[in-house]
Amino acid sequence: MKARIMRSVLTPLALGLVLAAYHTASNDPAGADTLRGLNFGAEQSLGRGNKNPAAPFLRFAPDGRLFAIWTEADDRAAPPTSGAHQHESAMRRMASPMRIAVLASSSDGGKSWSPAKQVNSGIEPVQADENGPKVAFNKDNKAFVVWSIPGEKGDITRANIRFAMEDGKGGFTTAQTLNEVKDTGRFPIIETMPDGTFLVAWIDRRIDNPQPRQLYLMRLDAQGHALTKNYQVGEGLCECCKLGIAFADGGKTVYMVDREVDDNKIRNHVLRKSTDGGKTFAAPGEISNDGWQVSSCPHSGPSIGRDSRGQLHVSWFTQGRSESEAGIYYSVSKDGGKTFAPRTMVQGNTAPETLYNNLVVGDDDTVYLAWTNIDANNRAQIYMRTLAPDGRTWSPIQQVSHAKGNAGRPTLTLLKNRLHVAWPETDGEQSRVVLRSAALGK
Amino acid sequence: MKTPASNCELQIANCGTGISPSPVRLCRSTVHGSRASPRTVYAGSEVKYLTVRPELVEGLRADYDTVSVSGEPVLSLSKEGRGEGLCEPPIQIDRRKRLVSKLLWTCLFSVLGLIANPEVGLPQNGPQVGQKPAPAVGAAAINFELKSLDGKAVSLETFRGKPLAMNFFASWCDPCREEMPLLNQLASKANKEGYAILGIAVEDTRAAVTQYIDEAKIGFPVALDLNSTVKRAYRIFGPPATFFIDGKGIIRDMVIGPVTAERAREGLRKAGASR
Repeated sequence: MKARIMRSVLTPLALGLVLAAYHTASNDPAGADTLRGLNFGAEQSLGRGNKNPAAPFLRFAPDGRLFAIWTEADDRAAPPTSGAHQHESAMRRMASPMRIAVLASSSDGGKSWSPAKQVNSGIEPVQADENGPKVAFNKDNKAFVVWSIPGEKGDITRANIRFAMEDGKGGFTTAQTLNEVKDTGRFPIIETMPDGTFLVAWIDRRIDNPQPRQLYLMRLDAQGHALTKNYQVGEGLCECCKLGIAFADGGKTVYMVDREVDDNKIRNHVLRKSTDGGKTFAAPGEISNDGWQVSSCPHSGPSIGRDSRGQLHVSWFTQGRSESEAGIYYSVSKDGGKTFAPRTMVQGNTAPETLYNNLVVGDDDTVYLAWTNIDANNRAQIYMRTLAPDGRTWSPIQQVSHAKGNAGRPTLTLLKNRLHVAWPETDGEQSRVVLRSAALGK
Repeated sequence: MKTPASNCELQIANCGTGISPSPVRLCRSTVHGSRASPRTVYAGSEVKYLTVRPELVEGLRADYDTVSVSGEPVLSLSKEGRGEGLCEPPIQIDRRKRLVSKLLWTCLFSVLGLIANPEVGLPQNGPQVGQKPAPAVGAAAINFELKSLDGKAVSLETFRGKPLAMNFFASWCDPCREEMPLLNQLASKANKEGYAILGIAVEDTRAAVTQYIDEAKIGFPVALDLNSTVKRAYRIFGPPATFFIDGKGIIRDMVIGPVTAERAREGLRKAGASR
């Protein structure tokens, strides 16, 4: 009797284990083992719901506080514009493009948040999406913020790079424009160099012909003063998309990733390497020959992270040479960017859509990758996978968002054993910023 | 391997996808043959869902490589990329059984998995959603209902009876901005020449589009595709894209990417515009 009961319990259990192994193996690249999914807590909304929060970016300050920056609608009156179409003027008042960048922090790992502080005092349409505000910190935990606003004529694609920093009195300094040639900069990022100074990078179009854009940098000291003028370190960049950056050798080596475009409108992703602290960069090296030929404008840039062994992990979206190749891809360089492993598809497109991705690398060299894709209800959601330090063990794909409309570009950061992912969600005219956190354990 | 049929040919041009440690999908292939089954391989049409063994992608190193559909080898390929195989692989009973069994077990485990963690375990490739037939020249344009900036309903029906150039754009998109003067020029002649222009703003906000209309002096109606439903239905990876639709709602031409004056004239002519 006892044996019979044991059989009736153990047989399905064993079967279940076998099925579990089969199922997880069938979901992953050939030969790969799998990890468990991340155990995320509940969703939190950041920002004021009636101000349509958007374009979040997460980063830890040196003191361990988690910071989030995002944009919100600006209540203050929009400046008058000339040449308005009369029949649209009423609607325009209701739909001002003026936005502010706001910054908030959490001292308890994202559970509670300080009131959000407005970064930009001027009335200006702070840009969002791929072009949203970014923050970095000096060793005194002072926030340095960059963002982009449209140029003088209102053209988003001929924009300006703005910068402000915490003034030590609870507010921010008056914003200044960093690009010395006006109406040329876009997609800024700011990073704290290992020596405590700041590197600001953006895509520039001051040389407008030929069309491919240039990569411009500028250095700021730890007090926000300019250490250099704007300087060009690369060309041939696609007109859009975020840049990625990583440091090595105490800041002597700087790696940057971006999307290039050639004369035939083929857009492949490249790595640029500097061995003199970002003063000059070697010729870019192709990460993968995806052969994505597109004359339209999919805004989706690559992401890079460096692990403790010096390996460079890169993720990106490409449509490849046909729609059926479209998806999020990953590759790794184990020789300081000289070569990259053949790309691995992290997830294929589930619908015709440009997908957005970001990755971070943990202290134990685990890679955490988040991206957007379309769910069975035709809505964009956030998905994640992790890659174990062995470089071959992928977790199953995990859906992180449950957007009623569409989830957008994810941002993620981690400190020690806690991972945080934030993204914007839009549903019709409404938007919000969502945060989820996961404890990382063995 | 099933018995090869000599009238099949698989072309794998432009498939240099590099070495992949994992199964990848063939990027673009064309199968020619006269006995194709619509369930599996389409004769003379693009095949998108063939799975390819890694050795094929590595550059056709073997004399013959195998292409399989749902794990079943159906075509073999020579080094030159010419293939022989069954254009119409019969689905055998034992395979069906295997599939059903696999499906049942997977369902069972998925349920167990969902109980454990409902967010984990999605397949690497798929599920494919929104995979309705791609808009094609000669096919009916997919109808939709959106709102214009001033809140009025806009659908394809609104434009029925006259040729329509339907342009997907975004305020943040460089090539969209480059083609906008041309679209404005076309719009200025639209009434006189008996056609219509419709802009569909995608991946954008009302505020940004309103500002852009003002800035670019857009002179044609604009609808907001705030949830990207129309964009996905028309399979637009990124704006701009322009569809030329005749008075009966049939797509007569389409341009993915920026439209030129010449292509716009051609598209409108094909859609039935008088000049």
